[in-house]
Amino acid sequence: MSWVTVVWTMLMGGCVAIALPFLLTAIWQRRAVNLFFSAAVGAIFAMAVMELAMMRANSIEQFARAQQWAHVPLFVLVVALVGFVYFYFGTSRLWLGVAACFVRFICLIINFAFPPNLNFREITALRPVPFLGETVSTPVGVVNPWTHLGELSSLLVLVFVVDASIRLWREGRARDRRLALVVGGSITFFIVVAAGWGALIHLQVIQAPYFVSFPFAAVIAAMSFELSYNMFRATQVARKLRLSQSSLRESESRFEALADAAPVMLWMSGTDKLCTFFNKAWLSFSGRTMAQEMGNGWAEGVHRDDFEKTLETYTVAFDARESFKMQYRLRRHDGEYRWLTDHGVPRYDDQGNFAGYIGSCVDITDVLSKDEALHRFEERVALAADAAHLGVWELDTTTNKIWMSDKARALFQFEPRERMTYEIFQGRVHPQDRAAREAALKRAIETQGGYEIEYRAVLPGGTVRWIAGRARCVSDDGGRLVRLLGVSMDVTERKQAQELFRLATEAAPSGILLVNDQGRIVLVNAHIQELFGYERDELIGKTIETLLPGRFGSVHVDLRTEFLAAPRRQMLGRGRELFGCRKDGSEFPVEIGLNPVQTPQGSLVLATVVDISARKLAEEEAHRRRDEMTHLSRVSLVGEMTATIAHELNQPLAGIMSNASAGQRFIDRGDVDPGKLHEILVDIVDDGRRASGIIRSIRNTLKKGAAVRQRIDLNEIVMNVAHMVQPDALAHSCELKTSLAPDLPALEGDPIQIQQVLINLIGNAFDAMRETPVSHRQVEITSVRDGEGAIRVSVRDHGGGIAPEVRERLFEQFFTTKEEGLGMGLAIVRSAIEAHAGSIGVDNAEGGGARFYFTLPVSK
Amino acid sequence: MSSSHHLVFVIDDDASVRKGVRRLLDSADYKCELFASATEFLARPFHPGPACVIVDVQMPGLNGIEFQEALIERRRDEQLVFITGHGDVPMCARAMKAGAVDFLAKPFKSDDLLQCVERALLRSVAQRRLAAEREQARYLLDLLTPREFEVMQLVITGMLNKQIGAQLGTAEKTVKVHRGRVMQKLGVDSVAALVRLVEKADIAAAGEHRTKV
Repeated sequence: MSWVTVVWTMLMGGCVAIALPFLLTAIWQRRAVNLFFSAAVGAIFAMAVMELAMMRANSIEQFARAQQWAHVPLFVLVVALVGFVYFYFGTSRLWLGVAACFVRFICLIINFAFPPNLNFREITALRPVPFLGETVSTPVGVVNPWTHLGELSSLLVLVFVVDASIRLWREGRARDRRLALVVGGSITFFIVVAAGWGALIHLQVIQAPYFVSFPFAAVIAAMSFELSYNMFRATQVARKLRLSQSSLRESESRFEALADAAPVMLWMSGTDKLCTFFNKAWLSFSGRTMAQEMGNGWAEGVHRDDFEKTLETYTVAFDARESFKMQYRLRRHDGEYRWLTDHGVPRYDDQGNFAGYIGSCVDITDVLSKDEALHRFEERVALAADAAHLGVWELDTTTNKIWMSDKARALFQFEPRERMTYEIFQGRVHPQDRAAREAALKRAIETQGGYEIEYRAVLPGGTVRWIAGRARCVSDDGGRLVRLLGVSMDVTERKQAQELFRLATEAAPSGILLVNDQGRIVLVNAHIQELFGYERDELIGKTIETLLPGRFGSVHVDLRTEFLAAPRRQMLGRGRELFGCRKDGSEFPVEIGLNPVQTPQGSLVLATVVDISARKLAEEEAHRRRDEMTHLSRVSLVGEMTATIAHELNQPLAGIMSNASAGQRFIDRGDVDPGKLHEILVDIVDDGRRASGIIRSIRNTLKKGAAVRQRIDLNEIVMNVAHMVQPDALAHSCELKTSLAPDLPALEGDPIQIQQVLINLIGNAFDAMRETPVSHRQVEITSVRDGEGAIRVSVRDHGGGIAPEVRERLFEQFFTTKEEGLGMGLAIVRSAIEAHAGSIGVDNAEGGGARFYFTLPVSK
Repeated sequence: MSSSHHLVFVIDDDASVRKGVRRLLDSADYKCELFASATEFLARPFHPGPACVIVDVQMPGLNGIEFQEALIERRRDEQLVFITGHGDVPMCARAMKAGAVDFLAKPFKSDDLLQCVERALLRSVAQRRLAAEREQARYLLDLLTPREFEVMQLVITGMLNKQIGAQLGTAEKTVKVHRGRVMQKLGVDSVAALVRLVEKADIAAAGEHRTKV
């Protein structure tokens, strides 16, 4: 017998020896791990057979067939390894393993579809190679490119195992680390060796027979070491159990009988924390045998997520010898995880020695499913919310998943079945509002409180809607935050109305202020900022007196209180001067409208402020112009007449003076010719007569000149004039009063001349009161009927009155009591009145002052 | 003060003013002529001797101010005294600017008017003498050849013969000859006298001569 045969046969024998017990346990205990392990060992056995066949191949066909069939155990090996690692490590990524198996399966198909096999496209010869003291066959041929697919499969297995090992190592338990190191490490190492060796042969770098089975045998050794170690521990436990006292065993067996009859799931553990007993209810629940559950075996069925917490609760309570209650998910025989509530208490023997724990479990999944009922309730709430146009949503803060009611989805235009996460939801929030919403949410989660925020949502079509959102945190029993419940409402219409209001307010041409009942400003528009030179922020919350000149401050506080006691619409600033005060302290005239507004926040006052500086200026300008005009019209009447008079009179005067001077000079010279002198004197008399004629003709002109005759309403003229001279009255600090008889008949005349008469008389009245104290400066214009056929108008002042000696001459030309006067005014006035067939006169009124009056006949 | 060829003209549409003023002028021994309108006066042949015109501002037809403008237009230099029944400041300023002797408001003081007339006549005499001298000087300057005129213009700036020669591009000697002839033609014996003569002819006149060449 050659060495090759001996070694390979030994390997095969070993394989059978290892595989059998594990296969039996796999069948007996229904342990997947053992099954996979057995399969792996079986595969290696088969591979060893094939390798031996290859080495001993006499023809190319024999070799090729053997190599072809060797891929079958290789495939089984890959599947078995993946399955083992998956079930034993519990940390692997299944998809990686499945991928490896799949690729290997593809290899298998290709292997059989394209002869001779996966590795060679064509085997041209068999080369005899000396090996272990004899000659074995190795192939020579063209390597099949598909062989790399096999290598890819090996690589995937490698990655799968390394990944699972690393993750297991990270979990950090001593047993796991050993597992990761021994099993993970050896599998990794030997796959590299086996696959590498195979690759080297295929590439014909080395001429050697395949002995892939050997490295894998090493893997098997590592795996079996691990499994055996566990079995050894289990046997230890079993021995300990057997060692316990027979009486105890008896009582326990009685207890067991009792416990098996109990409908609840019971378990017991010893002083070493390892479980020693599970009742029938438990076993029928888990579908496992007592042996499987023994020790820590039961923990294999605990849901991965609950595993650590369960173990910790148990250990901590155990060490403290305290009873405990915990909930965890345990795999039922049908593979479904069910929620159990597990209540454990320490137990003591007759002597009072601590003997371990006993616990009972109840399946509470159905109880928990009452949560579903709760969910149905929530659905009803959602329905109600729908009706109220409220979108309801719930955010799971651990998974970031969002459940949204249909209304909420409609609100944000999400598809009914669309998967929702926090990020997707945030995507709908307007970029400018995103940060604010995120911050509010974070704060709510941190403080376990809630939030209220208004933000814009951008819908897929690009439309922007305003959303009012509210949410609050919901915690579980342990005070752990689990979710955030929120409602969202479309408030676009309200926002638009607000925006419209804001725009209207902003665009208003006058300043707008809202003041609360404390006199504090709550709203200002842009115009106010412009008018007063303040920034908005500087005004909000300040008292309204900020905008008034200091001297009005205290008075205004009283006025304000008064106004708020009985608010009414009011216009301020007409007739009385009101001033606003700018930030720089300058003042400007304003007109203010006040309007009380009732709001849920209490009564507010809406104030509109209009800067009337421009209007004031315009008014002043108008006054000035009217002033100028009246002055001009007064001056022009008098001025025109004086110009004419001057020119007309100066001619004869110049003649008179020249003649007279010439006469003087002749006399002075001494050569007086009486004839010449007579001539001169005649000329002088002529000129004098001419001058007096001129004056007479002027008066006649005035009388005749009033050629314009129309129907006039005297009261209307009085009102017009009173209006015209108003600025004059102000300038003289006089008050102008009119007292007009109603329904006066019309009369014929020249309205301009009558106007001139009135202006003249009123002007005189103002002049007459220069010495009168301001409080008494009053001019009264009265119109009354004077009998049937006349109207009498009087202008009364409160000046010094008319002295008797001047009264007679008052209406004469060139008579004046004024320093600057021409002495023409009243003469012209008389001429004008006489031209209207009226009369004029003057007397001193009762209580002081003069009264000029004129009477005009009513037209027939 | 009056001499035979002195003459005072009175233009006023008002007969009594005319009469009065004539009597006043008579009493001061001024010869005068009366006109009822400016047009009438302008129709009269020009009086070559010293003349004063008393004129009313407000007149039908050509008024006083327009009359003044008409005289200036005709380059006549009668001295004007305005009288007015109703004058104003801008009108007065305008008349004075245009060279009126005075502006009197009617009724004026007789002495004021007579003083104005005297002043006007003196001004007229002086003006006449100046004009005569100007005519004489111009007549003399007209005798110069263009080259001599050029040399003369440089001489009065105080340049030496050498400098003038350099400027005109001729020999100093030639300049000397021209200069001698200029002095001879103009009848002056010093540069100072030459300058005075040119000034009398009015400096603008010099330009005229040059462009004439």
